[in-house]
Amino acid sequence: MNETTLEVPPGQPTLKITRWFDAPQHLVWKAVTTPALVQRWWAPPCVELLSCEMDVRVGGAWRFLTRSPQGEVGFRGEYREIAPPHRIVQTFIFEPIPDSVAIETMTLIADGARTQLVVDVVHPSVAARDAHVASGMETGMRQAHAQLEAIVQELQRAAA
Amino acid sequence: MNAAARLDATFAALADPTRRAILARLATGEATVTELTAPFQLSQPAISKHLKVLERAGLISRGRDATRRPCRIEAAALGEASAYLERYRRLWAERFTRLDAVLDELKAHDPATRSPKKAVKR
Repeated sequence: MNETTLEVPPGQPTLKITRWFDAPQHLVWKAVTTPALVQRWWAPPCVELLSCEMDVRVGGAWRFLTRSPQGEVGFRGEYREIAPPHRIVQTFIFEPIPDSVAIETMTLIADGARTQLVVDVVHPSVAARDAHVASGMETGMRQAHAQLEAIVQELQRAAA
Repeated sequence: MNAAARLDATFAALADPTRRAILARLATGEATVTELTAPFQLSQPAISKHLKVLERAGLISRGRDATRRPCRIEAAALGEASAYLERYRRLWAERFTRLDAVLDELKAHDPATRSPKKAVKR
């Protein structure tokens, strides 16, 4: 399994995600720019992707609407640069915090039959970046809490 | 506060997304209430209320400087903050594992990458 690395430099409002794929660049490009394909990998299994709109051209909009047991949450942005098959620059907005606009640059580096995918994200501030990291793992955290609650209830029943 | 009550306070404090975001912010260094208010769409009193909950749970402490009272994360809570980053990394790792599966399928249908065993030499 290829490793996913996350770099979160302290004091800087940026983060970087890097991952190698055992597939050529043109196929990775297809998988990240085709809505029907993005639909299959973007959201975690516990989250339903209700819609996946991608107008992949400079100035075009994208919006993903998700639904989990906790409710519906949207993500949206605009494409600023499209350079097939290796570079996309887009804005990223987590709709509950609409004033915090991040800039995401995705780069696909070809190396024969393999491709390195790099996502560079620049947030408006260090605090905004950290809020994004915290919201990104929220679903997993909520699941953990639900599990904990179930365990506590079981213990209470056992003690009764 | 006894251990059970402390645990309750910790879980109650962590159950709120704004407080988790405040903790994630403090994991990178101490900050004043004003600095913490900026990224959230909340008033300063609302943020102060969250800080009191975090302080009571022992997750943060406040400086003695009367005017600034900077907040810092408590050492014991640092482990939790690095767990945030690990969970976020895992979110991407799992996303990319699903992308692997999509790519395997694309490769199987792509003339350039189809298994070389199937290539027939003429």
